[in-house]
Amino acid sequence: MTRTRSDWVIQTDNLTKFYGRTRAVTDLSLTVPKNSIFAFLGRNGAGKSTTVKLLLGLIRPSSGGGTILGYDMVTESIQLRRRVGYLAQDYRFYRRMTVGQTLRFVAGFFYRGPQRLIEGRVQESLELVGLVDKLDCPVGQLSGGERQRLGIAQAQINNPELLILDEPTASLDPMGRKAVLDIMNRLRERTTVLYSTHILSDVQRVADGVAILDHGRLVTQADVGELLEHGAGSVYSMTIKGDPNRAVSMLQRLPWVISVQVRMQPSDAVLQIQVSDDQEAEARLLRTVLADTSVIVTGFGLQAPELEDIFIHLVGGEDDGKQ
Amino acid sequence: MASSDSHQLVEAHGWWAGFRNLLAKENADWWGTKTGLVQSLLWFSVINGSLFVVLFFSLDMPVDARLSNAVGVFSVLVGLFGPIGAIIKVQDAIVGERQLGTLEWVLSKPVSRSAVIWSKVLGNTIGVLVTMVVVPGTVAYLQAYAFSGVFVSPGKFALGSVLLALSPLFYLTLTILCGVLFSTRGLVVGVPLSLALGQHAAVSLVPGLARVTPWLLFRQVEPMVLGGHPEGIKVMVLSTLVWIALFMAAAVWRFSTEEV
Repeated sequence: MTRTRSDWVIQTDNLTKFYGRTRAVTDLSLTVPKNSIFAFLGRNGAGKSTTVKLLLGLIRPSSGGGTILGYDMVTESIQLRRRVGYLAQDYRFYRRMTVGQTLRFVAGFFYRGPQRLIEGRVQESLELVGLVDKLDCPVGQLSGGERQRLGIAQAQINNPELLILDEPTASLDPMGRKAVLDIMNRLRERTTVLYSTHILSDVQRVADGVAILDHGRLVTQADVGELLEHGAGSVYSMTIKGDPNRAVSMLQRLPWVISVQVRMQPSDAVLQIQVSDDQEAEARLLRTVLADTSVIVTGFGLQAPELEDIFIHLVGGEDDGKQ
Repeated sequence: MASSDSHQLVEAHGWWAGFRNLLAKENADWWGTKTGLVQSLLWFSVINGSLFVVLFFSLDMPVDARLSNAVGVFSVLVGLFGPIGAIIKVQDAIVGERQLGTLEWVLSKPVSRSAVIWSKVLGNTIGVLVTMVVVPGTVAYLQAYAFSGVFVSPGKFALGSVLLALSPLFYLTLTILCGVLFSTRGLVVGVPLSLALGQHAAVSLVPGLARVTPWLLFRQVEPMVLGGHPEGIKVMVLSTLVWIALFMAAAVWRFSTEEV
């Protein structure tokens, strides 16, 4: 699909940020389409939070720049923050305030009145995140999941055209994560959501588009479906009895095999074989292993593509933060 | 969104963006909680309690001496304790928010950096002056009458209180500047507190400093209120205002480059 300039909410051009001599973000040229949930994926320390702060004008780029909703991210950051909502990774609210006071305080940056409508907006926000009964609860008494939902409520209180969430599900249990992802899905109808994460399963579940960042550089940017289809070749699963090392060494000699991972089980081993050529794989993969008569194959098939495989393929190396 | 169509939107731009909301929050921190009451009671106890003791033991003195004691002791107490109170109260204003992480949250909203500094200074100035000067000053005025039977000119007493307020204001803005410059509480408190505690030693070493700082301004209040001859008061006031302006300008400039 061809997009015009006005279809993008975020456009950055060679965005670069140094901290001293350390490059946190390097030549990042990113485009985020309107009305999508766009995931910003990378390991811990990949530069995701730095990029988010650059976009909001919380830190200044060392070079490069960009626009958000048509506003320059450096010179017009106050104007753009009127139309953007943000939830930081390690956010903090004033503990002495109640949930209602927190939302009214944030609303005060956007609305002057009438008070009746501001209260209505506070109620709508609480309903969206399921915290209506917590209106008068001090922020300090909320659970982790409730605080995260309050974080989303305050971030969207101005009906932002762009909602930026930095690792919104990182510290939550499965139920908390589901609740937050459900809220993001509800918000999809009215706003563009850019969220950074290192939880690959969440991205596959809710995101339309994804950008993968590694060591401050953009590795790839694509629609999630497109990436799953073409991202890293196909993955075949083969269950064998016998010595898996011999099978692995045979497979690794094939030029169209990208990687082989072994998962040992009590009575057998499962090989996950990533390939770059489906036709060759279909014709020769099974035969190659069966050539070794000491190995018995008890299962073989094409795996549904997983974002995790693509991520490992693109980023490579050991992953210290991926789940 | 349909619901937002009827909202009156905040339109402030430039340095003003977000100021009103931030100042309301600062005022709520003082007056929407027990802080204002507790601070008022504390300074009432320290200043007016001490003044009561001094006046009680000077009942056998002539009326003029009692009046002079009342104004003089009040000035000394505010002149000595006001700066320390201001430093302790505002030392957390910037560095506390930075360490808690609320600063990043606030700055992610449509606010200007200068609005954050101005709201902190103005909100705390109101709080500090009301609790450390206005409330104790009003009570001290009545105490002076109660123990001498003579009303001091209210205009002159008010003007004297304004002069006394300059010293806490000097230290308040200096502490805010230190909060912007340093990230550890030790330095934020230590630098202005060292200056406040060492100001008399500094003046005795370099007497000229007294003319260009608010350090001995409190000594000029009694002669000014009771019709004496205050010395060099205009230069002291002007110098103090210049210092305050410099501290504010430096804080606003440095905070505009802060990365959170």
